[in-house]
Amino acid sequence: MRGSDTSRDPCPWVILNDAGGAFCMGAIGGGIWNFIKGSRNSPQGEKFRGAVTAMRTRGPVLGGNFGIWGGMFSTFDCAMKGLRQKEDPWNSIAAGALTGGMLASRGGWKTASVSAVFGGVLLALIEGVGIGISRLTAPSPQQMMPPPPPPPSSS
Amino acid sequence: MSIFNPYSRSANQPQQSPDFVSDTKAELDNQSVSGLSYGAGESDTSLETLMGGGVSDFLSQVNLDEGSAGFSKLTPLNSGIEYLSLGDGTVSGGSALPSRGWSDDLCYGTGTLYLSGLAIGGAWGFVSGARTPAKNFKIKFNGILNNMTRRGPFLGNSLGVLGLYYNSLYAIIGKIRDDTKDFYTSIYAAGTTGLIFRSTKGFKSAIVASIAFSGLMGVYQFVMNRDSIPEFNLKTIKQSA
Repeated sequence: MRGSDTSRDPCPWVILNDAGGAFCMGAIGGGIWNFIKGSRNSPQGEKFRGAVTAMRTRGPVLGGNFGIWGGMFSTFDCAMKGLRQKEDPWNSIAAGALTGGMLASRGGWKTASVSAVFGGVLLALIEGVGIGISRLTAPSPQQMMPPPPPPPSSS
Repeated sequence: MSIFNPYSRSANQPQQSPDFVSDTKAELDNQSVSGLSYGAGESDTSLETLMGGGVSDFLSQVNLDEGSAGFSKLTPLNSGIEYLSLGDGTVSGGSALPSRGWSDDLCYGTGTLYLSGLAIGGAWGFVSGARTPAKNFKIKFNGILNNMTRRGPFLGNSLGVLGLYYNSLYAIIGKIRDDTKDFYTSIYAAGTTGLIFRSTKGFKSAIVASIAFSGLMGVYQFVMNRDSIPEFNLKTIKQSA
């Protein structure tokens, strides 16, 4: 569960952390992906140049998409925590739905609501998997030994 | 000397290192502050002698009107005090959030640069969109939004990539220089960032960007944390002269 993770920083600051982490993830992943794609799509002899050009033009765009998702999600997550005074999976799910809706808001109501449902379902899946993993990895309660039988009374 | 020192709440205060004291020292300090003496000094009023005459007799000896001095008879602190151990996990930096290592530096530095680039680019787009003439409000609003979504991500992505380069190079160069992360590490990292960032635009352009970035970083570090750079700290220079 996100909220109960004590290794994360307190709320307003964690937005910067999330946005930066998501940006790095997207930029590095998108850079590698587009480097390979660019080198495959370029003619012989121009492979390296084409790969670098594709990486430089498309890598940061994916990083930016990831970064705005992460930053906005974290902002809504913090806002939910502040409003509800609670930390549970519903915060993340609502934040995911709001982020999806916000980012697609220029496409009209229909696109925005489809995107919001998609974001909410995505975050619900992530939260569900996280809860499942923590259930599986949690130590099972220790078996208590039964009390020893009373000593046989000698007559 | 990482990039997010501007959030420093404690920049003007001397950095306090956690001070661990022994139990007896802590008790003595506490006594001198509060004026109370605990059980260690008054061994005759141990629990056994207090409880000798039964509960009601014991309770009559405790005068709750005395405040904490009266309560202290209920808990003669013979056993010493246990403190929480705060020693785990080394943190560094006097900023608002202490950095937990290179990954924290990377995330916070990149995130700060990306979001500020987005904000500045958005403002720039707002201004340029508001300046263009339009027929009615709807077209004007749409033009403003178009400009904001063009300029904001452009500036944000560029600054974010710069932050990504700088912070990872800062960690790597600091590692190469035997974990010294000081003024020169940030200058070197900024110079290498410029070199990589403009490397596709030709050799001359890359050198110019490298010099410009290291100069900017030098000015920034000089302004933000002059006192932690030994070469520029006026106090230490005056003392040694």
